[in-house]
Amino acid sequence: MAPRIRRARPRRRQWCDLPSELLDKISGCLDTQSDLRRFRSVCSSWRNSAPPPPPPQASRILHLRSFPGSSSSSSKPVKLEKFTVYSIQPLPSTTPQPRWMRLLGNFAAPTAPTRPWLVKLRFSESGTVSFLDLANSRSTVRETHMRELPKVVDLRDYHVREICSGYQDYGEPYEVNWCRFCETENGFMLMVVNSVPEPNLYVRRMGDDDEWTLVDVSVKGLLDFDSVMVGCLKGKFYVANVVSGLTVTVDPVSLEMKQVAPAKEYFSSGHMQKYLVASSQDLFLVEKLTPDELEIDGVILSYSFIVSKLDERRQEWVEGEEDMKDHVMFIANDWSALVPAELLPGYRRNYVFFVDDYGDQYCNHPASNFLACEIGGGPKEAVRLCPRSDCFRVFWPPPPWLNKNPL
Amino acid sequence: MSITTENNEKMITLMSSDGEEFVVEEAVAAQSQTIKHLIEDGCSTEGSIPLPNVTGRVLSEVIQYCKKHSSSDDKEEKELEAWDAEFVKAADDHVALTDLMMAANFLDIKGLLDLVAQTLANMITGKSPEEVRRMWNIKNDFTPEEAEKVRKENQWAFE
Repeated sequence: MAPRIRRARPRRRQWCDLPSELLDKISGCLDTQSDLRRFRSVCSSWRNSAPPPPPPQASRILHLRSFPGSSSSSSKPVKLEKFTVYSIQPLPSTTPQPRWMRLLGNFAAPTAPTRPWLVKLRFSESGTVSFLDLANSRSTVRETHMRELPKVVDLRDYHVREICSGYQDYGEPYEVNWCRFCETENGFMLMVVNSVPEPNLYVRRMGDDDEWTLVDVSVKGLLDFDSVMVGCLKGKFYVANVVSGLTVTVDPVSLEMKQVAPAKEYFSSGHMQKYLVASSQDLFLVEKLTPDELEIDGVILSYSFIVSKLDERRQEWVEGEEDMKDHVMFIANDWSALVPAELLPGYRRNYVFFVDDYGDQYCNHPASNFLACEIGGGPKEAVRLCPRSDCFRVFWPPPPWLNKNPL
Repeated sequence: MSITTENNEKMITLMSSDGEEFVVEEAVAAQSQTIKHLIEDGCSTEGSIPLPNVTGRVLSEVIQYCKKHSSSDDKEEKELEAWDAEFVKAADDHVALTDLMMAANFLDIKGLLDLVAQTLANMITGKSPEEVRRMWNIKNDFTPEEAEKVRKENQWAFE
């Protein structure tokens, strides 16, 4: 290669001179919707070159038609309220950087991120947003805490990531005992309804119609017991039987069902609870063993968390926490997520933050029912998060860098 | 003008918009689909291939990229990725990456176009719109109506 001579920087082409198809190519390389939003807010040619990210989904009424075997024939409305958990972080560039790093300019390694703020939000049809309590399903943040919350959040000022979403159903009692929902990123929904006389599994494409397709459950034993867990990974549904561990995938388009882990004998005690938790790459089965007596004089007794990863090639759930080590796990009553540990500076890896079932309000802070516990290695003492602790600040109070009154 | 080297490699002359001439092996020049088609159409026999959209400075960077990529095979993917990263970092000192992107687009060199697009995307990742405007001297040209629309689109208004 010929020796390079440093020349004076030539006058740079104006970015806005780039033709639309090239701007479109650049915006296509952006990893997150948050970056795309900011890209579209720079100037009009940038805005016109890229389509807007889809708006968050508002709560809506779904009409669940009568279920096979049900005596009712009328269509019953069920209000499904979608919520989404986001992490909000200041942009790395607005965080102060050491001088040497600034000199490296665009190629400098990013500085450690500031601790994010996790929020659980619900969007109404009119576009307004409600803060929900991260720990308690169905409850909004109390009036007394409202004044600490911002009136408006300007998304251009922050890095906003969607952590997970879920549904709370507010249906009139109909002839079902329970319902499980999950949704793929591209809007397919799966529903398992424990209707009379037997549970059924439906899939629906997000759209204007509320047509649910009944899926033929070709794998025997999946819905035999009382409860199933549902989850999504890479655009596919996963349904697992809580008692046997039998797991299937359901393709949302072809509706084909395939077994990915067999039934095994579980020595499941009444105190064991199970959850399906997905990272961006893997699906995990989390088993939580709760002690008989939970809390005596403020001391919380030991919980055991056992994690298994689904190995589809070997067709089994493989026990071990190894794959969790770069994540922090959250398990609440109606949401669960694996958050990459680099997003949560100062957090101990291999920990789960969970809401216990005996979630009485110990104190009046939002999200005050979270406990922290180490994963794996037998029973571990769980710690109720003190509202003043660093770990708790990911939930409450709203962080000091948040601009509560943007223009 | 078509000459042949000792190892029997056919050479092509490329002429930049500012009149600089670059003599390169045909296999190097053919990394560009645009040039490849010009050669196939017989446009290269009558002297050099003029590239009216590309300055000498930018063309010199493009040729460096093409040389490396015509001499490496797929097995060296990892090494090539590292080379690409170094190349684009150095190119940023010499030419505007937006110019390099325009050239890669005009010359139809997919690998280079993808590389520059990703680099430009990385440069604006994690920056506020105001900061991006300041760094690249971009004018905020939204009309008041548009600006209001942009603001609305990007806010959560709480109840």
